[in-house]
Formats: sequence, C-alpha cells, structure tokens
Amino acid sequence: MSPAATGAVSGVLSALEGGAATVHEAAHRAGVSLELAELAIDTLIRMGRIDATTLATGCPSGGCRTCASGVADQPGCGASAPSPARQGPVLVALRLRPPD
Amino acid sequence: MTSTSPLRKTTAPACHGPAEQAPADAGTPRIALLGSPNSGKSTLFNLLTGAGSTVGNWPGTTVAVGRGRWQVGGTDVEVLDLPGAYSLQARSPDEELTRDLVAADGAAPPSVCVVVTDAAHLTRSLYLVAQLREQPLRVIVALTMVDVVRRRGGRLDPAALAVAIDCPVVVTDPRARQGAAALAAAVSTALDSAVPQPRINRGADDLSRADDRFTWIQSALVAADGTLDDSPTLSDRIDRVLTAPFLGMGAFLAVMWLVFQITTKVAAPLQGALDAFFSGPVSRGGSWLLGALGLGGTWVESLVVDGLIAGVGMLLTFVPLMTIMFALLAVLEDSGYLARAAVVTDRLMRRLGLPGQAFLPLVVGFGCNVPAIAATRILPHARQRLLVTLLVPFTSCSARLTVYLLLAATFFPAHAGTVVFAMYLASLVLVVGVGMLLRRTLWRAMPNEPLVLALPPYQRPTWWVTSTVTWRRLRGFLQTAGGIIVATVIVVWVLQAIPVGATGSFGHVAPRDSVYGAVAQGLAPLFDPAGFGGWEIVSTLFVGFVAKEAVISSWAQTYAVAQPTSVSDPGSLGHHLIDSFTAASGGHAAAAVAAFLVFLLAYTPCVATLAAQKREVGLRWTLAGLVLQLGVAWVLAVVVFQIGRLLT
Repeated sequence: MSPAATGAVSGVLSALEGGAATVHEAAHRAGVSLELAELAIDTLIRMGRIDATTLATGCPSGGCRTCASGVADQPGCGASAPSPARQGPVLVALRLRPPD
Repeated sequence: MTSTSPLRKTTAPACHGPAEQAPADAGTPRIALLGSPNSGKSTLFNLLTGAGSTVGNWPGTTVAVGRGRWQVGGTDVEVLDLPGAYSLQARSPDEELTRDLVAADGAAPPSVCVVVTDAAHLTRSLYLVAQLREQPLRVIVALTMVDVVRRRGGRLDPAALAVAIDCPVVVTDPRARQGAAALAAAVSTALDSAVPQPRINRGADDLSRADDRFTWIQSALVAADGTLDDSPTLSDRIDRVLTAPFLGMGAFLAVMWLVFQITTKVAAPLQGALDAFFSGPVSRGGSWLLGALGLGGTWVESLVVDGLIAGVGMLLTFVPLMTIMFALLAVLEDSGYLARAAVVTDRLMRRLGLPGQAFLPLVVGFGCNVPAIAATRILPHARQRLLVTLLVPFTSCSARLTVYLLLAATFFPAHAGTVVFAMYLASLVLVVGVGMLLRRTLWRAMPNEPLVLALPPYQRPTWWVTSTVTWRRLRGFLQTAGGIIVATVIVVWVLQAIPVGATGSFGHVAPRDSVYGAVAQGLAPLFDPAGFGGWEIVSTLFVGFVAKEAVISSWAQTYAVAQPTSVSDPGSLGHHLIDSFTAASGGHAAAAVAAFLVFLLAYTPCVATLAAQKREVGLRWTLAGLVLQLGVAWVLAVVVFQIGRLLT
C-alpha cells in the first residue's frame, strides 16, 4: 500500500495487518524509512491501535526473577507483564487490536 | 554560553522545597522546556538557570520537575524542565504531566514552549513539535546535536527547517555551553509577539490526524535537507536471508541439525570416560564400603549400587552432552539468531492458521513443558491459550533427549545426530499437524493477530552470558532430574522387589515375576501393533509417564545390568535392548525403535506437565489432552511400525 495515498501511519498499520513480521518489513511494505516506521508504530501504540508486549525468547541469564515474561512479585514465565528487572535479549511483540 | 553571557542567573525562591513546589508568581512568564529523553533538555535547563534551580515533585504528583529563574531581555522568567516526552499522547505519568502542563486550554499554559529537538533523531523529535504547533502556543525549537549529524556526514539547514515548520529554530549545544544567547533572543521576541495561529490538522479521526502530522514531518525534512543514514546495516543484509520465508526455514533447520551433530559427536568420548568412572571405581568403592559394613550381597547393596549409584551416575554421564547443547543454544540466543528463528516459526504458524504468539511457549517447551504451559498466558484469547496448552506436550523437551540418544546410538550408530534432529523435526510436524487438526475441527473460529518483531542487531556472543546461561540451565536439569531419578529408582526397585504369586520373596524375585513386571505384561499386548509389545519395553513407558528423565535408569534396573558405558557405546544395556526390540517386532527392530521413539515423543511428557495443564485449563481439558496425546502417540507408532516393517 502506498503511503502517499494513505499516509505513513495508515501505511504501516496496513503493513502490520497484511502480515509484516518485522519492523523492517513493515517499513519496506509501507514505503517509509525505518525511523519513520518506528515512529509510526510508537504512534499506533499510543493511539491504542496496537499493543506492545516485551517477550523473552528463552530463560534469561539472571534466572526467573529477571525473565521478561515475569513481574517483580510474580517471577517466571507467563506473568501478566514484563519484569522491571528483566535482562538479556527481548523481543517486542505488537498485537493488533481494533480502535476504541 | 560562557561567563561572557548576557544572561543573569537568579536563585529560585526559598519556598521551592525539594518535595513540592509553589506555582510561579502571577504574571511571571513561564518557559516550558520539552523534549524526548536524552535530547539534552536538562543540560540546557542547567545552562539557562545555573545553580539556582531546584528539582522537586510537581504539586499533587510524584513526578519531578525542575524549576529555575532565567532573565531574558531584562525580564525574569520561570523555566520549567518538564519530564521527557516523545508525544502528547501520554504513555506514562511523566508524559501525562508534560501533556497537562502545556495544554493550551489548561489552568496556566506556558508563555513559550521550547522544544529541545535532537537533530540526530529529527523525525521522532518533530512529532512532538507537530502536536504543539496544532495548539495556540508560542513554540521555539532548540536544535541540539547538529554537530553529530554533520560529523556523520548528514546535512541539515536550520533556517529552512524554521520556514517549513513555521516557528523559530535555534541551534544550541548545551554541553559546550553554546546557543543560550540566541535562545534568549528568540524567547524574548516570542514573548513580545502575539500567540501564532495554530497549524490546521485536516485529519478527520485520530489515524488521519497522525497521517497529517507525518506528512508535515516528511515535508519539513525534505525542506530542511535533513538526510538520514537509512542504508541497510550488516544485520539487515543477513536478515534478508535468515528471515526469508523459505531460505530462513532452511537455515533454521540447518543450524539445528548442526547443533545436534556437534552435541552428539563431541560429547560421546567425554561420556564414555565419565561412565567408566562411575561404573568402575565409584561402584566398586560403594560395594567395598557396604561389604565393610556387613551389607555386601544384601538388598541394600542392590539398591545402592545397582540402583542409586548407577542411576545418578547415568545422569552425570549426560552432563557433557547437556552442557554442549545448552551452550550452543545460549550462543544462538545471545547472538540474536533465536529471534530470527522466532520470525520464521511465527510466519509458518500464521500461514497454517495457528496463533503467531504461540511460538514463545512452544520454544520454551523444547526446554521444559511445564514453564511452557505457564507461558501460554501471554496469549490474549482463551481459545488460543487452550489450543496451545494442548499442543505444548508435543514439543520435545530436553528430558526426552537422553532416550533419543541412547536408542539412536544403539540402533543407528552412524547417524545418531541425524536421528535426534529428525525427532525434533517430527516434534515440529506434530505441533503443526495436531494444531491444524484441532483448528479445523474444534476451533474453526479463532482470533489470530499478527505479531511484529523488533529484531535486535546481531552481536558477538559473550563468554559471560553463554557460561552463565549454560550453568543455570544445567543446574536446573541436574536438580530436577537428580531428584526424579533417585525417587524413581527407589520406587521401581520396590515394585520389582515385590513378588506376584509364590515365585519368590521380597527382594529375591526376578523383575518379570514382580508387581512391576506383571503390570507391564498385562498391558504389553496393546503395543504389539506398534512392534514394541515386549514387557521390558512397555514397563519403561510407565516410568516415562512420571518423568522422561528416569526412562533409561528404569530400563537398566529391569535388565538388572550395569548402566550403559556411554550413549554412543551402550554396552550390555544396548544388547538387551536390541534383543527385546527384535523379539517384540518379529525381526523388524529398526521399525519398532522408530515407532517407540515417535510414541515417546507424542505421549504425555510427565505428571508435572499434567498438573500445569490442570492449573491452566482445568481437569476436563487436561483429561481430553491426555486422551489426545495417548491416541495420537499410539496411532502414529502403529503407522510408523507398519510402514517401516514393509521397508525393512
């Protein structure tokens, strides 16, 4: 989808809805720079169009207490929010949700 | 600015305490410094207000705001160093306060908003400027990091930018104390001028309004000749291959095959040496000690030497293997490759109609199924969580690896690594296959939301992270497996010591004539169609139901022989296994072993996984999952054996 026709934010949103698997891919599909795509994704998160969740790809070097899938008072996998003490490589997952 | 600055710094009033601050005097112009975190905003604030500034919580909040006095053109003004913000659409309490304090329709809108704008990240910084320009506010852009842009070979024309965004742009370098005078002049001019007309945003809804701002930003960038180095990095070029739909999957499979090849080839000699140590000096030392205590030749020696020492010793022979595999996986993770593997896996799952986010619990499941079940909580919909909870047991946990290795080294010694790799591939196929089956039968309608991954750049793995992660995982494996093996060895020993009928007495009965053997013989015919209906083989499936870690030690107890000398040279246990599989399959041992491996992969991983499933999805679905696992395992095992029998 051309950003000229729909706008950069709409273009990035369409790219995500169309199955872009990485931010690079979303930028490429929307025809915008990577920096603009990152800004568009941040804007979409702020607008509530998509959710961002930090995920762990594996057990972190600091043990369950530092797992990105845990929280300070509920360590380990599957907790409801990222731990502030998380360490190691993490992924950002963007979950599309309809506008309010 | 230096000591020659025309600006005079004044001290803030004493009533500005450290906890809460009083509002400025009525009529005193208020200058708000805004900007994204790390844009140089606070450095500029310190330059303007000097030592007289204070920092404290804004009244009614826990958000710290810097306040100070600055004299501009002979007029005292109050300067507020507002919390860093990327946008007026707040995501944090800090950003909420910034939004509230600059609201044009608020209680006390600032006289001038100075947006500290990082020229090296101009695109991002201009979004806040765009939002402010849509309000009746005086806005000045204080442009920092221009030297950084020029050092990188970039271009930027501040004057053209000022024209494009229709507000003053002042180049500053707070770290070098430069630009304060020009900023003071701009603020003074702004204070003497009327509030400019806001920019009209022509968007009809929030999305089109955001599009309008982006168009405005892009136009400003073009006008200011703002060039950005957006050329692909080395990580980008590598990712074009490693995250491509087909090449990426091929690369992932090749990497995992290499991991198992290295694991099996390098670990084998180390395991042999360790096993020789435990089956030799340690076992002999244990027998000697028990003999010295008068317990030689009794059931105590049998339990301690043939059970506990052999069982724990067997576990320890797997330490080199698990260390190498954990270390290789840690290297893949630390380098950033596993994130790419997640992209490939996610794409595959989505194309098959499975929830993309499921890749995380499934990846965790290849280590251990129990935390993987808990990790299903990241899935947003109950149906997705239920589906993935039922799929996790089909991921091949590390406990199953030891059995794969023993049987692969016994029956397919030249291709042990490839056989193990094939088991992991079969695990992936099972997950996808059963998932698609459930999606097309039980859950035809299921929400499926895309997942976008922000990939970290590749990095050189560090010894510290690799060794720490490896040690933590190895310690976890040893703690879990050690406890399970000790407990299971004792329980199996007791069951094998209780005679059925009048064929012996406690502790003096052949395993075949014990309670253990009788139960196994009763169920063995169920597995005749799968080619492994021998009671010695079937008995270990009960133990494996409790925990897969104890499968090999229970086999060794059943055959009442020493533990294998190593996984690549299984010794007498291997010979017993070959005899049992050959007899049970009518001479088609290879097909029967393949069927057994598939059954081992597909049936219930352990009771701890069942407990985790019950906690997450309740007893009814746990039992349904149990039936599913046993049914799929049995059917596949029969199919594999029947086809294999025709080919061998």
